[in-house]
Amino acid sequence: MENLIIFNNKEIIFLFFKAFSLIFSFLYFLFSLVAFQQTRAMIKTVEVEKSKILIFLSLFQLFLSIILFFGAFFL
Amino acid sequence: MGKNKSYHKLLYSFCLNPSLTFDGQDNDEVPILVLRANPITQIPWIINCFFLLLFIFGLNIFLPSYLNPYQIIFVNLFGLSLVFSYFYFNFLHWFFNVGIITNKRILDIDFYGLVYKETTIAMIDRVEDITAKVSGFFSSFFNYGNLFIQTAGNEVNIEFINISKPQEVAKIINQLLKNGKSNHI
Repeated sequence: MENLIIFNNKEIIFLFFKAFSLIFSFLYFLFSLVAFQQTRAMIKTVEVEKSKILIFLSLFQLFLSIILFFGAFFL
Repeated sequence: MGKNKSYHKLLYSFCLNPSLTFDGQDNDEVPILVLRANPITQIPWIINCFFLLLFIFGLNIFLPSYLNPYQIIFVNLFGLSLVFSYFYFNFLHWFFNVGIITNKRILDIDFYGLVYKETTIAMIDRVEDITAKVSGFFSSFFNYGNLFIQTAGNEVNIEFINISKPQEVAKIINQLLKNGKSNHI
């Protein structure tokens, strides 16, 4: 019977943690992608002097979400 | 007010003669005033960011008992990213929800959430009535309030909510009405 137990408690917690991290980081990536597109649409609607900073921040957010998503694979 | 001299006040919430262009702008159309919500009205989400940061730092007291160091780094990075996104999203919402007054038109551009945009436009010469409302202690102290612009006929009415110096804006619109299509204030 003991041989049938594949995971111990800690491993189950880690497995759940990894699954949730992957799901939420993927959702965050989708959100960042939409935010990036929306920022571009906003800048097209109202063009201001320092709009490049906003594009940079959106790209930074997108980059961060990609790092998180790939980081979640190695948890 | 200097003639055609650009200046802004209260963290770009009241910009006179701004260097800005917008979608659908005519060649001979000059933006005279750009209005955003008064920065004081944005304090609640800034406080939220502060408490969210505190919460993330507080989590680090308990996390080492359950997670390994790599997972703790991931949780922190993810939490900080979320706070950054929350801050950035609210900032974008504030920055791009603008009222633009040109020598020809009054535009109210509103973004709701991330995917819905609403633009309300009224011609300056169709403006019939302007009401500036400043009510409450904070509004009076920091000089912000709402401005309601009623137009003639079937054209839509425009509302600017929580803008800085609503009386001054009403004065500028009145002046534009008097001057016709002049852009010299």
